[in-house]
Amino acid sequence: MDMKSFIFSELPIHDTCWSITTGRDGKIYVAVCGEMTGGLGVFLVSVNTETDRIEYLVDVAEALNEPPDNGHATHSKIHYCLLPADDGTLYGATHCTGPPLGHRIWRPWNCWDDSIHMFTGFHIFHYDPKSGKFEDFGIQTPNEGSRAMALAEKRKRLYGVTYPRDHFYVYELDTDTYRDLGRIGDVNPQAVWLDREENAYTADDLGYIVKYDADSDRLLHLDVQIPHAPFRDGTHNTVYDVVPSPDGKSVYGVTWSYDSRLFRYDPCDGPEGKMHDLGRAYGPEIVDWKVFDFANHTGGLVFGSDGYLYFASYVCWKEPKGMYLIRMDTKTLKREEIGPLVADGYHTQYISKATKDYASNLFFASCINRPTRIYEYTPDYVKEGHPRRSWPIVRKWG
Amino acid sequence: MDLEKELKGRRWPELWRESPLEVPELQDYEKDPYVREGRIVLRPLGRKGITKPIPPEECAITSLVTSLDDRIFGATSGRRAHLFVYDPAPGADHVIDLGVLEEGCGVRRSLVASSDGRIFAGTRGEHPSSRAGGKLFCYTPMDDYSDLYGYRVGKIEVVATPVESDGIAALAIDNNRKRIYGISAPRGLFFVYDISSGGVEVNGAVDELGIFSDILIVGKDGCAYGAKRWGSLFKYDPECEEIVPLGVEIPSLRGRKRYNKVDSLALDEYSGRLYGGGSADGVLFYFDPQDEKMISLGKPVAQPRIRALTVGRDGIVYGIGGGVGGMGHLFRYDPEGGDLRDLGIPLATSQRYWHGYEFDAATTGPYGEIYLGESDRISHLFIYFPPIPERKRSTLKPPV
Repeated sequence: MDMKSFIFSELPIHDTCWSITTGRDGKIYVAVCGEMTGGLGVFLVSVNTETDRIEYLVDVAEALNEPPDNGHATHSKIHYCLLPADDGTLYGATHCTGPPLGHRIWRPWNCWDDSIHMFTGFHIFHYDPKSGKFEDFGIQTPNEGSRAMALAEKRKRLYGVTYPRDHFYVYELDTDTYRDLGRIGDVNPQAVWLDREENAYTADDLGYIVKYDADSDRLLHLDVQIPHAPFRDGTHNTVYDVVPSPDGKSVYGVTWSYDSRLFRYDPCDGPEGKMHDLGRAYGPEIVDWKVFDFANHTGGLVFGSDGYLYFASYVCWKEPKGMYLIRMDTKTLKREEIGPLVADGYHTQYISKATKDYASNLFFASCINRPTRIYEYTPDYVKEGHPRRSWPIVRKWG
Repeated sequence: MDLEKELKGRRWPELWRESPLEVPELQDYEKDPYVREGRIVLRPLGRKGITKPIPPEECAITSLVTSLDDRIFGATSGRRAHLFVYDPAPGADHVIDLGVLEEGCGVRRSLVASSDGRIFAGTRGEHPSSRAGGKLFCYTPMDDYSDLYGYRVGKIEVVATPVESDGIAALAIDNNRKRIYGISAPRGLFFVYDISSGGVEVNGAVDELGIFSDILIVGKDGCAYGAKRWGSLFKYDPECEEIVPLGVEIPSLRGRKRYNKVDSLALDEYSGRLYGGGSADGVLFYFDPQDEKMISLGKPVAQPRIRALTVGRDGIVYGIGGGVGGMGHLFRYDPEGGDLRDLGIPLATSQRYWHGYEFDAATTGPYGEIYLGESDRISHLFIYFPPIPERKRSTLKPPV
């Protein structure tokens, strides 16, 4: 397996890469986050896939005038909120849960009314890699982080979900206005995605699809549920990762849940769209509750140029345990194990999201290791000289 | 300076190698903000597993009352105002949506239970420009019923529009006199609805500047209590049919009284005390109508407002502090020992895992359980079971 990693060694105690995307310039952009040690801020980093050069672009927390030693919970992450625009720029939003400097743990429920240890609230920002210009759109709502976001470029809007209160928001890029449309659930969804009309979708914590109808400016709770194992009732069955199908008519997704289901959702098939259960993402059904959390993680969904859906699944039923790269033929639903995500001697234990470059090399963002890193997988079709693709090559959501 | 070069020289914070959840003194941290004294469950506003609940944006519970047959009636605000009942009976233990009262309306602190079994609700527009609201609805249970297989509802009808072109800001009931008292909004006119005759009498404005609190309560003495501007109490004396200013202000932090209103009131039937909370700073107080004394009990939580308040069967006062857009905390006040204590954020796991952040109504159930009306975009009826006190003495002899 042709796998290598890019290690962000200049950020030695940062521990997670929650956002990864590709800019129009073909570089891979990564949010290098620090959530397990108090007093760390998030950094924006790029990887030039042609030269293999890592560039440390922005100390985001400092650029937002939210230095991580100011006593507040830190702007420690960009959590599924780094989005590429057609003009080559990036939109982002910050997130919390990194403890204040000197603290070992932090949760928003404990510090909501604490003017010192509170999280000041997520910023939305705009970054132009070409000029280096960084524009801060300010704090959008006090106390809350932005868990997931999508860019509706034709409508000039950002859609997102806040943490911890799980409110859906719309940010109007034309007028710089933030609108809170209210609470959509309890456990945060990990993805907000778009259809071709740039309506937004996500799922509540019972797995029901919540649609933001962009024309009527309303949130609709659909009678469409993402799948779950037969022995479960849908509790904590929200969405983790979603990618558009190559034809753009459907999306493929995976649940953020104990049973890790793949699904295909066709938003335009009928008044509420149609959900297809594609079964357990990979491997045998795990019913042991005490190992649910890690045993079932699947992330890093990305379509290769061969039409296969690639993703990373945690394998706990054989050695070595850890994340494995899988690919699925979406016509037959047959899964094929490509191998463990290992490079430079480290087998990653968690993959968040994925992206690809113009050559259709695949990149996977790793979490929970120091220094943190991303993995590059070069499929055989790249070596066989598959033609370079043209923009857009990646989704506009996190 | 090139960021990469700068990073090479940067001094990083001390690294914690173990997970915080493996450190004994931190293991409790994640459970600590939530209510742990007693138990909390919730019920969706519709039977779980069988029907859809009252939809988002029209389910915020803004009024609750316990009926004489021990059911819990509630009313919602938002795109549409619904009347619902929680039926605790065996085979039920669920919420039934009794029907829509009005569109674009709310029922805010305006739900009362009559001793003849009827429930009255007053509506108001949800926005200043709204023309909806202002109606007094009556729900007659007749032979309403519910179980696992279905339900039957009584009749909802409009019985009065007490003040033309005004909404209803608050209602209170005197079951002895068979009267419902109300305040209209925005003008703040005090009105009396006679339950027997159906007649309405409007008695004029409660405040000369039209600034008043959206709350009323009937005391043990049969007077109706409310507040003029800046939390200055008045009473309506039914004997002389007059509004009497009491010259007593509810407590607030210094400099804050002009921002203060009475946010909630609850009667202790035993002592006759009126417990209340202020909007500006969330200061809890009680007013004793007998000696007209106002006692400040302090701030139970680090937020403004006390949006819901009720007195338990044991005399302990339960309430929710916290403003709109905040993270409400349940608290209790024990008048016996004077202990005022924050109990934490209500977190339910049954019938759904759900943090309760915003609440606007509370009532006490027949067995001492406390009902809390969530008022979020998606809302539930929370039920809090306070702990049962350990026995202090017994007539039983211990085993030899």
